[in-house]
Amino acid sequence: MKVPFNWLREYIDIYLTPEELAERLTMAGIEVAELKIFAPLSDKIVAGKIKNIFPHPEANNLQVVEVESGEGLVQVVCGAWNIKEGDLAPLALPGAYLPDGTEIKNAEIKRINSAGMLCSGIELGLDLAEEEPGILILDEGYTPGSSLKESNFIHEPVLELDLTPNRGDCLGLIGVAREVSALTGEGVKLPSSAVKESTREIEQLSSVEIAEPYLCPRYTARMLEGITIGFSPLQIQLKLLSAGLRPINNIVDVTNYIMWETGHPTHSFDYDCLQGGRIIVRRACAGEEMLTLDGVNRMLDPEMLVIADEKVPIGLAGVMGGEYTEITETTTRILLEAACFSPANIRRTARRLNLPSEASQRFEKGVDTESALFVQNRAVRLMQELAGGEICRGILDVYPFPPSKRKVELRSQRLKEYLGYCVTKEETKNILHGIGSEIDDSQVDNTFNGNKCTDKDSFSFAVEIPSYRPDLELEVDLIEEIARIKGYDKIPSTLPQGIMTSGRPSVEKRILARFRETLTACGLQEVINFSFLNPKLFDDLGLGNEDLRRDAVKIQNPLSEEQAVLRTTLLPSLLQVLQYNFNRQMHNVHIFEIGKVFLSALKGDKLPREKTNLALAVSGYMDEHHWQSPPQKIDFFYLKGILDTIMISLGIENCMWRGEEIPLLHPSRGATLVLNEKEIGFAGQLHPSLQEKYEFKQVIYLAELDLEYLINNISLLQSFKPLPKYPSVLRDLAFVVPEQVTAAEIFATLKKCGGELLEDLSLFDVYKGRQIPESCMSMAFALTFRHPERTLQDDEVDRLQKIMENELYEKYSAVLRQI
Amino acid sequence: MKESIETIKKKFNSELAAAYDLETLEKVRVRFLGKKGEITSLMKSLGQVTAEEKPLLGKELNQFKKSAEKMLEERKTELKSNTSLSLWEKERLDVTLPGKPFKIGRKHPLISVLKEMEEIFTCMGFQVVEGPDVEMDYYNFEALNIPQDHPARDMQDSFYITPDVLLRTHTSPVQIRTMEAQAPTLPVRVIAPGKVYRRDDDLTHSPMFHQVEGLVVDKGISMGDLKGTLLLFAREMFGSDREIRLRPSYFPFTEPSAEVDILCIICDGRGCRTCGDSGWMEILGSGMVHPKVLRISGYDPENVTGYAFGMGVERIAMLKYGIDDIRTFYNNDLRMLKQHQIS
Ligand SMILES: [Zn+2]
Repeated sequence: MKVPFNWLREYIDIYLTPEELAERLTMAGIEVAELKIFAPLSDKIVAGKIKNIFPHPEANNLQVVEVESGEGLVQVVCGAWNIKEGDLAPLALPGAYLPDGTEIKNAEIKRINSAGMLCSGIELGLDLAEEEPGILILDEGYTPGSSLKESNFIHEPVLELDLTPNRGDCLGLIGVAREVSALTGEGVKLPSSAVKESTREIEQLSSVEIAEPYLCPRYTARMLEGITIGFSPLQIQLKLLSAGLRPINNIVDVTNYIMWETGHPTHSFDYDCLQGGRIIVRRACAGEEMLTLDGVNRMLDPEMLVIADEKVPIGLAGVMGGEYTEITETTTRILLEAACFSPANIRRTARRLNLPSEASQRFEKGVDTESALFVQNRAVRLMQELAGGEICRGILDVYPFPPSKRKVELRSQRLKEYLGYCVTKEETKNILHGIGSEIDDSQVDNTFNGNKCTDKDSFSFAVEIPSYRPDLELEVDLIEEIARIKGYDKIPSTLPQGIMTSGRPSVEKRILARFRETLTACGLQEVINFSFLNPKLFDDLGLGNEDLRRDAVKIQNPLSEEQAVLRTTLLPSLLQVLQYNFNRQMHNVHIFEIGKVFLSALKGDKLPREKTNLALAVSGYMDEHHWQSPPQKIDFFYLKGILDTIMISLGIENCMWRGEEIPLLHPSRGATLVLNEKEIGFAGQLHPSLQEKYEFKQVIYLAELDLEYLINNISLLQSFKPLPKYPSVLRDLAFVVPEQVTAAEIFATLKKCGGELLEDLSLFDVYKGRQIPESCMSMAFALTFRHPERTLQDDEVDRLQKIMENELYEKYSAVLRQI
Repeated sequence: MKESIETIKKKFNSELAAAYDLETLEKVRVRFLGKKGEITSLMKSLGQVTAEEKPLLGKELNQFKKSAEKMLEERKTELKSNTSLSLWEKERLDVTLPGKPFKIGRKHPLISVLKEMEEIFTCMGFQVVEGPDVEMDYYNFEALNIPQDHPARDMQDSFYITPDVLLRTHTSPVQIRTMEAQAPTLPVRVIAPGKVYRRDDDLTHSPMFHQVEGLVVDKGISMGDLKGTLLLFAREMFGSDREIRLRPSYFPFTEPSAEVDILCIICDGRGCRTCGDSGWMEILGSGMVHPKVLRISGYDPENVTGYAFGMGVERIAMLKYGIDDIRTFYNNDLRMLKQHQIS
């Protein structure tokens, strides 16, 4: 909402600069998003009175004009023909600058001196409505020689309001003036709405019927006869321009002017185009069509409210008029509508047709039903002033259920409880009066005690709410009014009191924090991706038709196909991050993401299942390049090491890696991670064909874990074992093992045979080649044996070793290698 | 005997003086103090002297042995340090060569900011709670006093899954879920961080972003408590002298409502481009929990009051790190992420 500062001052005296007013309004919740102050017009542009006009002796298309400049006659050469002797027009004297930067100089045009220039509206930066482009003819109010800079409405300061949806009342200048009044205490000056009616009764010409009183609580109409369509006077046009409205003709200009003044949209119909002369407010019939003012033929449906004559719809109620009853140059009789419509219905219609207008914007926020008559009278009065004609006697006013006065209770103790400080009874009353409320304080406990707030200074008011503030419904709404008019800076800073509460993060939060700590300590960078995914990626990634990850939740209205479904896996976004960084010469990429994935709702549930996953991807080198030692390339066991470290950090020792074929992964370099017989994720090398599809020039290793099971089954409690008191016995054993036997199998056998006495077991070498039979390998283990309560004897360890050798031989034909 | 001692003394002194390296010195030690060394032999021959001479000679010999040992030791230390010096010189390094780089991973900047915010509030006794990203229309709008066709729905163009299921447009639904679960127990004192979604995509809007919601419900909670809490937060987050101001605003689920600004962290209120010359930066929306919201969630608005606030994590992070394009957070450009010093 644009508020021209000087126009606003017609409704209230303001003793603040535009800047100060903007600050006051903003701090009271009427946010001034922008204060536009234009560069003033040049001092040397003055009002000039045209004294004499002569033809130019040398050119047929020019005239020589003598203009009274206030300091004598000035002779200028002029190319426009819309001037006559006695007119007032803007005169730019030598040294003046036009708003576009042009400097006016003494000139000789075809041997005739021109000491200045008569200006058009465009040349002054004003987009006026005029008969033909020409010199701007000023109103009679100007004295020759007065600088146009002083004119109130040319490039005046404009406050651009960014209103919250509850303050539709400030979509009119009178509403803004009321707000200023509440803040400054100055009274609002309502403009005159007195009208002189003719003897012709409106009821003989027209009638109004509301078929849908819930969608149209009030409809009023007035009529004018014998009007002349023309252009509005300059002052009106200038005001409309400063509010950002385009002047069109006197009747349309008045409807816009009144809307800006009162916040109440009106609409004028050409009465002679109305079939049957009647107005019916009804729902559109299915299949009905209407040509709207913007020239578009629109299909209507019964959800939409229309204004109709006896036969057809002539306007989309509150949204846009129809072309068929539009005001034209030949219109002489008009019917003016000032009505109220259901905000929700207007909103739906405007959105459905994608037709947001100044009118619909106001109806959506609710206009004051009680002001309809004032608006009606203001409008016809102004129309008569501008377009002549006669105002018919009477107003058609259908108002089926006039609302009763609304009263809201306000209690001093609630006021104090909400604000944290006391407001005295007097001050409360003043503020409530300031916003236009009436107060019934007959129930007041009148033991008022000076200015101090005590228990005795309690009150309880029944506050009558003005009709133009539908947003004030409850006691808290009044409390907000008191708080904001007094200023939120009056609110003290205190802290909540009461029972202590613990803010310690939940176990889940702490486990997730531990994941982050471990992963960043392993050198991985955290990333965050959108929760959306392109469903096409499921095909690109080669997920099988039965793959559960294809069962993604669809978004009905995505911004693009790229974001059409919610993600069921974090990996596709990680691959995109790899691609993005590879393309920017970043080749060592170690990243992870912890985020939600979304799986379709279970039968009977409305909401999808949300699970927290962890995904990571590593590619390139393990370390940064260093002059001492060449960096090592990342391989499968680097990835595994990271995951092992995570498990260790959580105190998990029994996570198994089951090598198998997994979608997305290299068929023989992938594993399912199994914990307590539950599959918790997978890890491995990106499938070579996917690597090719993504045009990655380097190998990628990735993993994705479902954290749900981990989170629910981890204990963060730790205990420490006492340090051993007795010495250990160390043995290094190497076994020659057939290739198809896995390390996990050998580990399991050794552990089983070693029992309680085998304290530690680690693989320190795997070797194939010389001295080892074909299709076999040598695996060398370091074993640590210890007895907790005594010194272990060598022969005891020998016995255990023998058992290990036998078992490995029987199960896997593995033999001890003599080192 | 006495002469022999004198002769050996002289001999020892001259040989000691001539020993210029540790090897020769060791030979000297062996020659005089070894098992068959000259001093050792002399001590052994003490048995052959007379009983009168014995104490005197014995004493002298002992003193000589001790001083010889001491001189040898001193000489050894001296020689050793000379040798080491030359040896260590050969081991000299160019200490200006680059060190071995250790790879450091970092948390995402938004996670760091979230963590900082959570720390500030949990230290004030706020519990961290969470809710689903995909939400019922009821929790996202209806229960928050935003019925169908309410103009406030315009401000939040939503992604829909079905007509009554959508991606939450704010973290406020967690307010309702928390109160429903806890009512009528008091106090409620929670923050709810999480992802939210709106149909917007430009320099300052991302279709997905993060918010932190705060909610306190108890007997006698006032707007003063809201202001005090947020002042404390602003000072922890942006520095101990940071001022805040509350401006009246409108949210359907709070009344009275307030936007909260902090004194511009770039210009300290003098006015600059970042704050649009106002000297203030908007950081969050807040207010007193609307009575309708309290009632629908199981609390009696006549007996309890509460405050709520919600802030955009990206906005706070952008202010804190001087980032002006919100998409920076979601490009995941490692060159950018690695600049981020806090973790
Ligand atoms: Zn600033």
